[in-house]
Amino acid sequence: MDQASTAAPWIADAIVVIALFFMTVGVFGLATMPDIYLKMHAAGKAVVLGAVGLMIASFVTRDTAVIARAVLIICALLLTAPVSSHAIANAAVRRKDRMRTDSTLNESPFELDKPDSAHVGDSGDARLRTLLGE
Amino acid sequence: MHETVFSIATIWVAVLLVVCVMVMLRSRSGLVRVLALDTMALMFITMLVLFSDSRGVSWYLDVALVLALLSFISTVAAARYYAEGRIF
Repeated sequence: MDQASTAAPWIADAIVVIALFFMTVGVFGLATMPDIYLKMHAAGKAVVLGAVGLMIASFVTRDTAVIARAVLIICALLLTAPVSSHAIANAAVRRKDRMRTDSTLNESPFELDKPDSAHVGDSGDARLRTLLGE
Repeated sequence: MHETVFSIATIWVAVLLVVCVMVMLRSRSGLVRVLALDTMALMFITMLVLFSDSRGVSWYLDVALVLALLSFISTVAAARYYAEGRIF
């Protein structure tokens, strides 16, 4: 047995531990962030990165069926995770979910960083239609 | 040693899954529930990959692939329904 094949399981263990750290950070952010935008920031990046790392760790089995399926899952996750995050963010902006922290950066046409203003949506809808060119 | 690492990783991912279930049950916003469901599906995928690694069986990954695509479609559909009241 050569040196690479003896070192490969240890590399896989290290990748698994690092990936679990990233997934833990992501789920901690999902549980503790105050806001849908910040929760999405934690859950959409760190958890997907951890899952991709765990699938990379399964490359050391050197089984062609496992590696092909793992590559397919990685491609599917990396293609679909930004799209689903964008769908959730789009839904949050359209439903005018408020930002609940100080010092926010609001680039949407709605005034989402103002805490209590009941009728901010009217001028925001007009600005959104202008932005979309309708 | 390596089997121990994969077993502990499976248990740890199960703990993270329970945390996601608690977030989904306790939140009052519908979008947070959609996001927690998406993360739960990702945890299931991760557990299936770990099962496949520790048992040397490849067809757990077929289930993981189908679950990834179905969770994407359900997340996009739920977000669109939450935003506009209709899916199509």
